[in-house]
Amino acid sequence: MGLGMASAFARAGANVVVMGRSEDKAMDAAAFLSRTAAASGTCFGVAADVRDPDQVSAAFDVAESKVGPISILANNAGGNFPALAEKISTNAWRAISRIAIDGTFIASSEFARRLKGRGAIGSIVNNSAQYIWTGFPGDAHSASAKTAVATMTRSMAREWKADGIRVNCVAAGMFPHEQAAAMGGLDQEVLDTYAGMVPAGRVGQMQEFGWASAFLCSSLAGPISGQVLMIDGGDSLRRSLISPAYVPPRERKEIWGYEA
Amino acid sequence: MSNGAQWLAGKVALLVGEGPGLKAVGEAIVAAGGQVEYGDFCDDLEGAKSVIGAHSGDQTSSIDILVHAGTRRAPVASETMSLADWRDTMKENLDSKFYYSSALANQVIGTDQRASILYLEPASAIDSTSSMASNGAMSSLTKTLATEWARDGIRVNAITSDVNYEGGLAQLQALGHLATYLCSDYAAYVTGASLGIED
Repeated sequence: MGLGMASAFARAGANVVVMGRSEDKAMDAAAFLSRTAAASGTCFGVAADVRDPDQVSAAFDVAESKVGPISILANNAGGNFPALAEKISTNAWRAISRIAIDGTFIASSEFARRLKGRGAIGSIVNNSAQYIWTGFPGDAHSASAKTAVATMTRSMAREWKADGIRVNCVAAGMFPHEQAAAMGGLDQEVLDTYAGMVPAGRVGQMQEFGWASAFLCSSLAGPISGQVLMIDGGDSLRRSLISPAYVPPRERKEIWGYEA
Repeated sequence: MSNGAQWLAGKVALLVGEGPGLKAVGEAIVAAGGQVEYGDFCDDLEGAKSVIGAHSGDQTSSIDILVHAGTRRAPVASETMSLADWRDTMKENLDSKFYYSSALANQVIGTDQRASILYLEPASAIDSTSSMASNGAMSSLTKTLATEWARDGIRVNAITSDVNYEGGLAQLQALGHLATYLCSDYAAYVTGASLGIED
């Protein structure tokens, strides 16, 4: 998902710095962008753990020394896996919630301090998910974390409105890349299943996620701030009054599935 | 768009309603290469069908996009509101939106044509019961029609913002860009969504 956003930014002419925990992976992503995204600007990678304010600040220093002042921040860091709430360990809870919630807060507040320090305007886009307004049984850690990201979006937008810092959020539905690892591969049968369960009849294309993110960060979106753009082909909406029998996650064949 | 992007080239949009927001959206659609037609509020399905049908001659003139705003009236205390005033608000802010949407869907369903519907809703309707009622109804109607017609290639979204009725220049331009994005194929996976301008 991060690469989808980064590709759209690069295609639109931005210099893109990819920040990740692994410097190698961040560099690989940057090289991929340079190769594929028809990037006119610079793309490179830098390492930081978003849970550590000092590392994030240092990464901003490195990034700004190479491309100049950063004016757009895309918060994409997050993890997810199917889990029964009563089986989520302290470590698992901390990993998912702190990467998404603390990470978004730490990176955003660092970014805002820098912008305010030099009197510059800027834009933030946060990556969230389609299940944030309904909850998601079998995903207590990420469902709560992703909703926190969406509600923080509103609060930060209000707080920094006078400073010209816009904060928006894209809540994505089924874009198979993200779910692939957790749901066991990406063969055609799995893709067809995903496509069939979404009201729109297909999964999302990564470019569509990128366009939404780039649009919100662009000057076309002028004063638009504090918004959560749901892009899910209708997946998050109720689809019937009568549903298949409810099976609790613990009794399902797969925790994120439907069948017993 | 202001940068010359022809996101809606060849598309025909029908605009219904009042307010500076709808006007800004019309200008943005034209700037994005689209063609704009206007319709009056409808009080029944037949009226909407005759407007939509008048454009259904061939592919170049049939309606691809419906943008429907309402009206905003001075708030009236519920206990003193006449039935006629109540009905006018419901007609303009709810009924007409349903009739036009249904008329467009009836033209699109079962064909290769696709359509995008966008409602412009006020955000701060709290000062008037009639607006609160129509706002709630439209919130659910947006989601319901989005799901019901998703497989027919009809997308249904809303921009819920007071900018629709009292926006400044920059806000109205952003509204136009947002509307253009939502009605364009770039937002082909966005349906049932409601967005604002400023939270």
